[in-house]
Amino acid sequence: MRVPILKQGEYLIATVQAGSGDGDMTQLMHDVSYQVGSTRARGVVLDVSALDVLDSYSTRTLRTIAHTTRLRGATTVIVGIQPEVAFAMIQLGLGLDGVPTALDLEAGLRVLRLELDTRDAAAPS
Amino acid sequence: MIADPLTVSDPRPRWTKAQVTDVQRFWEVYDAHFEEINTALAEELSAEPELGPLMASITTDWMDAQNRELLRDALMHDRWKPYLEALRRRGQTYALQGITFRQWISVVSAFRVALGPFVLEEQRDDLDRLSIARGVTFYTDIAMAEIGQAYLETKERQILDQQEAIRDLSTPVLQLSEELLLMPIVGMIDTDRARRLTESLLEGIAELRARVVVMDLTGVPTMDTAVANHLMQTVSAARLMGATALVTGISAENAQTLVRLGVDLSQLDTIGSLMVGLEHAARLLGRAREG
Amino acid sequence: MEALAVPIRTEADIVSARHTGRRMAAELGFSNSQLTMIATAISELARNVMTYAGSGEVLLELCDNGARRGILVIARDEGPGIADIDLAMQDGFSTGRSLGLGLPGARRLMDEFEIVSELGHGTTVTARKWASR
Repeated sequence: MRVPILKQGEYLIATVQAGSGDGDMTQLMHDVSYQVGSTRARGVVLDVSALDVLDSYSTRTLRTIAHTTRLRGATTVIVGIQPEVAFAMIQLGLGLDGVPTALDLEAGLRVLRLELDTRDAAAPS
Repeated sequence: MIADPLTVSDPRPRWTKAQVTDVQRFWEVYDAHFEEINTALAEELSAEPELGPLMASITTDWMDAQNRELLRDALMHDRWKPYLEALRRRGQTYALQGITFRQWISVVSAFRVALGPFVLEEQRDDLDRLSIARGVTFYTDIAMAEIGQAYLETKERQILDQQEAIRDLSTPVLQLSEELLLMPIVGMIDTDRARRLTESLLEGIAELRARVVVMDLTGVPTMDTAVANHLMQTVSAARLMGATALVTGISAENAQTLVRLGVDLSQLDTIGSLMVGLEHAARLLGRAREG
Repeated sequence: MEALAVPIRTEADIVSARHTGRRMAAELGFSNSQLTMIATAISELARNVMTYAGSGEVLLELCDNGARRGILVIARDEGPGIADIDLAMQDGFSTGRSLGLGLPGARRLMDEFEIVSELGHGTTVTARKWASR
């Protein structure tokens, strides 16, 4: 189940499908990394709202995607973690360690917009 | 586990041959004078002031033709399950309609009274009449047991449902503004309630699209480590959903519990009073909107 | 009681085990949160089986303790076993670090949790979660 990655302006949006397994997540990591490089995207929104479980592997992969994209100059926001999934993750002892999160796609784009504007404002002219 | 009120436990009454004879004699009288007895019953009940309008529904179901056939099958042909199930449905209905125990028991008493004259009328000797009287008792015992059991089990379920509703009320999530939620927590929290709190809060974030939630602990006298852990978990889980959780109103004692726990206080946005907390929340939201 | 054995060898089996577990537990009136906890615990336990033993199985069964009904999850393998169970069960939760096997986390997600392991012989994790009514 290859995750489709859409380009919207400077952003990439990837929506993870229900029932995605480890292999799909690993594939996603490669695809996002590649796309960030080839499109010079500055932000990525990863929508995981269809996932009914986020276990240690998927969580680690999400963190890795965020860190890899940052190394390539893009910020990744994870959106759509469902209430019960968030609860279970925390019980399991998993966190996203500083990776930005937001409620949904709309909120995620807002977070990206805010961060990029802040970064641009701070950049030396 | 609460039993299902509609499930019949004992499939048939354990009657001796003599008892069966008694009951069948009673049935002969009842069947022969069915309409008249039920009319007398209705009159008897309408004379009772406290029974009220609900009695109309009770009396009609004792009198209907279908019930008569079910009872005939049970008493004369030993086919009990359908009749007992009908009794259970009746018990459940009485409970759901709010009919009191006394009210439906009084129908049974009224039935015996209504039956009386018709037994006397019968051209039978005293032994027969005694037999019929016993038969009435055996029958009404069965009816009361099944109706009563279903009534009781339905009431128990109602109580459990009400308790659930009260528990829900005690964990309210209030929307103060478009992206701000307040969860005032009052009273002692045990693990079960803490879990509910977390679930309510997280669901509230999703449904109301909140970005800041304030958990106010002013009304919480003491916390144990389990509850403190739960609090931390709620803060972390909220963050996974893109919301910032502020904790306000921590008493000195509760603060000590948190410190003793080794809670990473940098992870916890704690602010003294609720008021200051709400101001802080408004600033957080305002800042985010400037983007 | 219906009992299902899900063989674990590939990552698709992990997904299968947790979906089956969720489906079975759903019949018992668990809340959505609790169903997700059960599915997540199954996912972690199945993952351990696959990662450390290569293969094994997850047994799922509805159970009854007289007062409540619940779901029983047994994850077992014949892999290398765990050398120091106490260490593996140490809760790194408050420091935010998990010591690899996610066992303390899985224990937090379930109500009852028991682990038997012998070096060279394998590991069996038994866990139960009870529905409230």
